[in-house]
Amino acid sequence: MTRHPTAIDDESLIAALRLASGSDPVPARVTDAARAAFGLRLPDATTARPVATPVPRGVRSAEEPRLLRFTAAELTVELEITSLDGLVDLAGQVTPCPEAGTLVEIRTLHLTESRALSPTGQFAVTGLPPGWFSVVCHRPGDSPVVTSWTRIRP
Amino acid sequence: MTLDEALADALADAEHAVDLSGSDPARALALARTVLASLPASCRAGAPEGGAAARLAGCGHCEAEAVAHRALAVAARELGDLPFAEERLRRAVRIALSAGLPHRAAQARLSLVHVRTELGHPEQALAVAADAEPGLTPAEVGKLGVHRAVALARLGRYREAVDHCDRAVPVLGGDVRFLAGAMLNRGLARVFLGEFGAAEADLSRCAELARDAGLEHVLALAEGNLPFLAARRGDLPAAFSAYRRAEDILVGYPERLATVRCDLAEALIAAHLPGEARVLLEMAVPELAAAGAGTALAEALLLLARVELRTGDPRRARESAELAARELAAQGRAVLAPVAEEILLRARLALDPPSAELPATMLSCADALDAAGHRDTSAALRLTSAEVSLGLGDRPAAEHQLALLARSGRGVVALQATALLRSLAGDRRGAFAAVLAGLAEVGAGTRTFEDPVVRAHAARAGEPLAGFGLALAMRTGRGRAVLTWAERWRAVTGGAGRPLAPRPAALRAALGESVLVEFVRHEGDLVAVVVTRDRVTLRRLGPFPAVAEATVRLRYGLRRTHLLDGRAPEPGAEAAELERLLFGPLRDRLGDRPLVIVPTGTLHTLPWPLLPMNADRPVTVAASAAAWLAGRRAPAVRDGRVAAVPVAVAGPGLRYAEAEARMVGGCHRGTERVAARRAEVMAALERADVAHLAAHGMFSPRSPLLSSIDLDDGPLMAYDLLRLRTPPGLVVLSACDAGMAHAPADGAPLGLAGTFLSLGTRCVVASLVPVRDEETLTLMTAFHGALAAGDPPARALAVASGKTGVAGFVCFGCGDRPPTAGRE
Repeated sequence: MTRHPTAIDDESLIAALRLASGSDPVPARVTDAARAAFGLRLPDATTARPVATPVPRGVRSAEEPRLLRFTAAELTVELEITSLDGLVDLAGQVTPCPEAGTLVEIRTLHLTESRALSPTGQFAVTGLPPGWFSVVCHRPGDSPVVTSWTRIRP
Repeated sequence: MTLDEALADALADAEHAVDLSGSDPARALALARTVLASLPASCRAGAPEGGAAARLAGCGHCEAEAVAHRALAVAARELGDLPFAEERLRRAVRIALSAGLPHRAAQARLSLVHVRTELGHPEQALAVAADAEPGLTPAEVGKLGVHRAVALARLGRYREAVDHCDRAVPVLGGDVRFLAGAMLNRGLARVFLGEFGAAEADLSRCAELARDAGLEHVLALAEGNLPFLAARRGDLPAAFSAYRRAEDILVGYPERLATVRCDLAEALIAAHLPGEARVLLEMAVPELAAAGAGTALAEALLLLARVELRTGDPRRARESAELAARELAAQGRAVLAPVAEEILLRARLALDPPSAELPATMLSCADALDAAGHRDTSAALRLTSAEVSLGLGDRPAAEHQLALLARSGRGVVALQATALLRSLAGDRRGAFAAVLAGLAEVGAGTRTFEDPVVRAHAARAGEPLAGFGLALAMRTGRGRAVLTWAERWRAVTGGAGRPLAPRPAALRAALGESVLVEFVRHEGDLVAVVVTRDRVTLRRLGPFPAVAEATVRLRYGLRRTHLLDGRAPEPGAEAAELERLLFGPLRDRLGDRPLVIVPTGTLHTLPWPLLPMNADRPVTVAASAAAWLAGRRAPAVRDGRVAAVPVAVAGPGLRYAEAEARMVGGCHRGTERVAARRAEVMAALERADVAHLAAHGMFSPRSPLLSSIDLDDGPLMAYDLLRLRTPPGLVVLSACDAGMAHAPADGAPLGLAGTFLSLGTRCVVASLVPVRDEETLTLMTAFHGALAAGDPPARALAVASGKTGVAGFVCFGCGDRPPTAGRE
């Protein structure tokens, strides 16, 4: 797992500038990727940034858990990653537990999965292809919180 | 030293650098640079466009310079910089021609043939070879033949490639490097021609020559191709181990290493391990692109597209296949074009509703695949086209295609076509018979694999057929039929070799008061078969993804709780939700009777005792009804065991493991303490009837047999356990995640617990989540207390969990007989 919080935005900005100038033909693949990336931008959203997670103690496991934690001012979004057969299962939680009607979107460059939060603020999506991910938390009557893009390898 | 002598030295050094480039490219590079630096500036400055000095025929400076550039090029090619190699060879040709040195120009062109091929221009490489040939000595024409063979093989002209190598061998004389190259290229071409015996002889001879001459990476290439041959023959375990060796030797040759990785990826795809193949290809593609290795890159993109398709990513598969198709067209490699087309068609089918002309497009692609020799791919595509025709309502077209496939008699696909055809004609019995014959063929093909991972993945080739058999069974509406076909598939994946199902009467008699629930997936839905002493019931439960997601959420909450992560959610709500999804429609059949569960997919990771209805209920989880039945019937103590004893092991790095091992000794008379070293533990497992291991545990989802228990001298892996001949009847793995399994196919849960059970252990108690050191001691104290009092393991675990409130452990296999039953 590597984290490149700003890479997507920089790429799409440069691609967009090149598109706008109109003088520089850009390969179709690049413009498609740029359009896709732009389509994923949320202008009003607050970005939740990655923070370190504590190392567990007192358990019979020598393994590092694949847990990602993102925080914005008032909200924490957690993602736990498991991968099998080259596909990714994501489980996570929004804390403090937001009001009823909150939706999370798990976004990749190509598709978006939407889930209602469970009463304890949890969500899960299974069988996603590895790659770039971001999670958006849409709260009724409040601006969305979006995690910075994170690359998940199988 | 005179000027002439100095020039003669420079030329000799340059030629030495060319020779050296094969065995030590880094030194060759340095030597060639030294030669170039030593030459007079006037000569080098004038060389590119042919200055006054260069026009002097036979100019000694120019000769040394041309040879030095060629040495740089050949060394750079070895180190993976193809564009640089091409640029230097073109310069060498120019210098040699300007200086009136046609032989030196022809030599540079000889090297250029190989570089142009690897850059993705095999046709042009053949033209360069034709230009070079008249200027070469007979021995050099032999070398040219070796390079030509690579271009020809890339174009799919394998027979001509073999002929060129045949002609090269007698004229190469003592040039070991090229002789080894000729064997390598001929061997590879023969692999593609399916002449495996001759191919193996060539590749072995290549390895022998390279080893004797110290040509380390030619040796690695030969070894890297032996497993490619093994993979093409279907010998996957040999392929895996040999690839690992090749990877070690090729450190420092990124482009060569990338090529070997692509070969390994191809073998992994053949073994139905697309996820692992994808990891390798995502490493290889950028390396090949950076090296400018256009030819290998196009092939790598093709493989990448295939694994992206297989790992549920049709969008990227389409992008990669389009890119590959463009590259292949530019390279004039028509033989691979239909392979790219096939992936594109399947990606399109996955993304968009099928158009009316899709079946016809698929069939013309299948024709092209046949013409290019890809017969298995074409047969599978024809079957898909028939299925698409059916979906579009064009039954005559579908039946025509299916009849052709059925008559072709090509393995499992033909039997699947036969089954579908008979089912369309209303002949259900005939359809079942064809499915059974197909499953038997899949089972026979996988029985030879000793590695359970390879076996389980290889069996996946039969998944569509098994799915069809299950669909037919579902249409009967009868629980017995569904159970039989679900069990037949589990027997194949579990290594029984034959699609056998237990007799329902025998199963019901053995169950006694217990209830068996076998979960099965059918077209995205979850289905349950409930077996009790008096009947077999079928219930549909709804979409599987909802169940899978609820399981993942429950595990998340449980993991966070056990890791004492402050914000952990209570798992109770998720557990109640899962109970509703899984058992809501079954509750009337269960009562409070002991439960035997046969899971499917993600449900292999569900800690079943956590569901509210299981609070005080003995629960056992088995890979199949047949596996549970076998455990039920197994004698507690096998023949030849002198004194069956309990053994206890305390692993390193834990505060409470030692106390736990002592506790086990206190509960069971005669318990033997065993040192936490691999040899001692393995020996103890051979003679124990009950084994308790308190230690750190690790589950490896990508390679489940690398899951391990920490001991003083390193990890005891599931792979190590495969050597056990008489495993204990009851194994308690008092560690994190030791019960975790990955089931690539239903019936074959892979991991520590699954390995013990597949070897004959009757029952394993292990955790599916991280567990806390101190809490585990508390739970295990209650568990062994109940066990010593005569409870069977599943009941003992229910009692202990109820008493202590510690959750996460599950009883696997057959947990309803006390471990000492056979002795008393």
